[in-house]
Amino acid sequence: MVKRILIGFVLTIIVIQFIQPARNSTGQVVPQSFIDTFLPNDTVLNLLSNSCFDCHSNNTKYPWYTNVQPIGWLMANHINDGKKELNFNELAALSTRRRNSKFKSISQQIEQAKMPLKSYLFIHRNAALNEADKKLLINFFQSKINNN
Amino acid sequence: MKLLFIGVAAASAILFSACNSNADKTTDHSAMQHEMDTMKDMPMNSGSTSNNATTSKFTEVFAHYQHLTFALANDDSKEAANGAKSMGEAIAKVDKSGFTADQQKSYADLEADMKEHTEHITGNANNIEHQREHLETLSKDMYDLTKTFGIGKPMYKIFCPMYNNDKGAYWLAETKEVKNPYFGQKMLTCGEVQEELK
Repeated sequence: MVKRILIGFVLTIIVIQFIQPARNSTGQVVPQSFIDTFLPNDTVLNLLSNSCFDCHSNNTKYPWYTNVQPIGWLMANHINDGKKELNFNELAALSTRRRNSKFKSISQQIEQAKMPLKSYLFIHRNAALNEADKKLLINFFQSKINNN
Repeated sequence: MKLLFIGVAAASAILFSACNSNADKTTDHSAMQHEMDTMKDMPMNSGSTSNNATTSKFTEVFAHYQHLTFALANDDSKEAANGAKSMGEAIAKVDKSGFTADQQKSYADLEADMKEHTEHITGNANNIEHQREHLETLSKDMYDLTKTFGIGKPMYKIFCPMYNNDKGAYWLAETKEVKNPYFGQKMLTCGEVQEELK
C-alpha cells in the first residue's frame, strides 16, 4: 500500500514536470519606456533591476529551479499578481493621476519594508534594500510625483 | 430610503393608472392623491431631473465613500472594507451616457484610480493603516471628481495637518463635523474645514 502511494506520488511529480507555465519574458531586459520617461540614474535602475523587475516588469530573471514544478507554477502566480499591481513596462503609459498613485504606493511599500516580499528575499539575498537604498528609491519616486 | 421607495412606487402607480383606466381598482387613491400634492409643491421636480443628471450620477458613490470614512473614524476596518466594496460597485455602475468626450476621459481616469484604491481598502480588512493610506489618494480622486463634475450638494474638504508625518491629508464630508478617518478615535476631532465645495 505504502509502496503504491509512493509510486503514485513519484509519477505525479514526473508528469507535472511537463506542464510548464508560460515564461514572463519579452526579450527586453529593462523596461525601456520607463527609463525614457522617468530617467532613473544607474544606481536607481540597478536597485530596481535587482529588487523589483522580476515580479513587476515583463522580464523575469528565472533561477534554475523554476523548471521544477510546482515551484514554477507558484512563481508564475506570484509574477501575475505582482504585475497586476504594478508593471514598470506600463507605468509610462499611465495618466498622471495613475502614475502618482503608483509612485505613492511604491514609496510606502518600500518605506514600510513590505516590498520586496520576505519570501522573495529569502531566495534573492542580493535583492534586499538597505536604508540608503530605500532612501534613494523613495526620493526618486517622490520626485516623480506630479502635484499639478 | 424606504420613503423614497414608496414615493417611486406611488409615482409609477400614477403613471400606470394614467395610461390604463382599469388600474383604478387596484390603486390606493389616498396615497395617489398625496403623491400628486407633493408633486404640485415641487413644480421643478420633473424638469430638473434631467438637468441634474450629471451631478446625481455620483450620489451613490459619495454615500459609500461617506460610509467608508465613518467606518475608519470608528476604527472599524471590516466596515471600511464593506464601504469600499460597495463604493467600487457604485463606481462601476455610474451612468456615463450623458458625458462629453472630455468628461468621459476624466471619468475613465478617475474610475481606474478609484477602483484600485477601493480594491485595496476592501482587500485589507485587517490592516486599517493601509486602508487609510489608500483613503488619502481616494479622497483626492473624490475631490477632483467633485470639482470636475459637481456632486449635486454642498461638500466640505476637511484637512488634518498631522497625518502622514505631519504632511497632512484631507477627506470630504457632507457636514462640517470633524470625524477624522485617518486617526480614528485616537484623534477624532483633529481637522479643520478647508474648503466648501458645491
